[in-house]
Amino acid sequence: MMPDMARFVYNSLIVILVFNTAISLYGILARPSLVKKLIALTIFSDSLNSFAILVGYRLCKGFEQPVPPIVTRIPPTQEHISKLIATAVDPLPQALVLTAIVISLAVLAFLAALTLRIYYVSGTTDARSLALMRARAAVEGE
Amino acid sequence: MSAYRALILVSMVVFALALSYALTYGILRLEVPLTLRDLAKLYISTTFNPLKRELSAMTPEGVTAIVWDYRGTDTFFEIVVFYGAIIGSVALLGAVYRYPPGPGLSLIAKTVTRIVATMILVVGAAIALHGHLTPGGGFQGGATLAVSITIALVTFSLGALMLRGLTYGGMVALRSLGLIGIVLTVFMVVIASLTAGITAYVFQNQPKPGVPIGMAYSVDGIVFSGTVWFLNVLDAIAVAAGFALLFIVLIGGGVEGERE
Amino acid sequence: MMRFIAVFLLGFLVYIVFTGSVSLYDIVSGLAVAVIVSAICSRYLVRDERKLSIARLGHLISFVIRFIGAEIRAHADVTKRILSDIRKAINPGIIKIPYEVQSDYAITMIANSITNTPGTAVVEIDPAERCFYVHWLYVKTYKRDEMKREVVSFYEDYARRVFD
Repeated sequence: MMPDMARFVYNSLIVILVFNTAISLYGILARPSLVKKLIALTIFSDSLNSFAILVGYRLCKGFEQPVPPIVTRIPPTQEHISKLIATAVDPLPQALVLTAIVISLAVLAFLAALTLRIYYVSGTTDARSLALMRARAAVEGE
Repeated sequence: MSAYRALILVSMVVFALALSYALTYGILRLEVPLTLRDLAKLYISTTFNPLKRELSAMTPEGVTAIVWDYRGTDTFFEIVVFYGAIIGSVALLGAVYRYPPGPGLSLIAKTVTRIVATMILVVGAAIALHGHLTPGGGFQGGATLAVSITIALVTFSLGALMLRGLTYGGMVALRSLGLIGIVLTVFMVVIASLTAGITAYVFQNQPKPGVPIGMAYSVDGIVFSGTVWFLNVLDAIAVAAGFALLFIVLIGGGVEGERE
Repeated sequence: MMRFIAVFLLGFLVYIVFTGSVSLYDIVSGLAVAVIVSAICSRYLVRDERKLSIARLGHLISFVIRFIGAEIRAHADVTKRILSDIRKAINPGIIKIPYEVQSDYAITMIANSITNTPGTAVVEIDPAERCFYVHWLYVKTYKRDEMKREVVSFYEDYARRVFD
């Protein structure tokens, strides 16, 4: 069994991340400002990325802290590699999160440009005003 | 309106509580594992292992090995997505060929930025160049280089930097250069294998079972991990130029009367 | 050429300190990076390369040592004021102080030193009128030359010796 302190930190980390996700979802769905939606979107993707990193976390025998998945002795012996397997964290989630960060950054950049364009065209980034303008334009068009 | 907002709030809280309950006690239960998964064991045992030369990526840093060797195609398409996002931003806001110099921030901010931006450039290059040895890599190094360019853009104003060589066309050229370099590096081993009369994989770095051709992983004891070093450096250049392009377009694009 | 070497040394030092190791790869890549960065940035970092000298560096080091003393004295003074009766201990005000140094680095050094010592903070700088606006926690005097002696003179002397 894990020590109580480690279990508590691990569980509270998960709950904090879940709440972060919930708050950012609230921001995306309920805030009218497009800029605030954008900020909430970055918080959302960062929370989920932290989640993915947490999946790769492990503890060593005797609940020691793990080490990064890096071969420090060059060239390594077989003994050194088995010690690394016994103590290193999982590198795969970190690599996948790196990809996810780049993709979310690309999406964020595009959405920022889109928001800026909307602002230049209509003079506002408030979703309610935008809906109102659209309705008004539809009425005038008829 | 307030009932609608209360409904959203309540549903969010219920969602958070249910998910955290499921994570702690229910079917999604997460315990900190004491051993690695089999896949992770495979990655760590072959990331730099001269004893298993045919399976190893010969990159001391496990994460960079996965990013640029085991799952290289994944990273390549990630770069394509980033490229597409920047092209989309330019299409939305318009290219910026000329921009008048602005006043920028105060004298103190400018003087400090001169020193700090130089230091950040060095640090970003260090992160990119040590990507195969220590945490970091091409994207992280490029993002750090872009920080330097961004604070310079904010403190000195876009027009002042455009006069000193940070132009739209220059950044497009630099980014294209980095991307072309990445594509060439990807096909380097394939081209070499064609001249030798055998076939190799795209994105191949080290010799694999059945394909006895690959890059050297060290020169005189200096480990550079074959294609990984080149991909890191070229990706750092491409990412830094891409970010610079993005900020040039975000700052200067889309304003009527400024475009040529 | 001197400015290239100075920025090159700065870049190489930052590279080695950040990397934290001195293997052959670190030195070779550090040299290459420092050459490239110096070629790009040295024009903007050093305007007048005749000013680069060992004597000025010595002045800078002696300034740093004496500045630590001034910092400790200012901390002690502000701590005393906070702990005593606050209505009598402070007399805040924004004062206008002219400066006589020429180069950007000297002005920045004076302004950052003033802001770094507790009790005084530069809130605005006016290059056209050549003066700082300084917020002072306890305005001791309302005479111009005494104000200048109290707040700026120590830093200005050193800034002139190091950068002007």
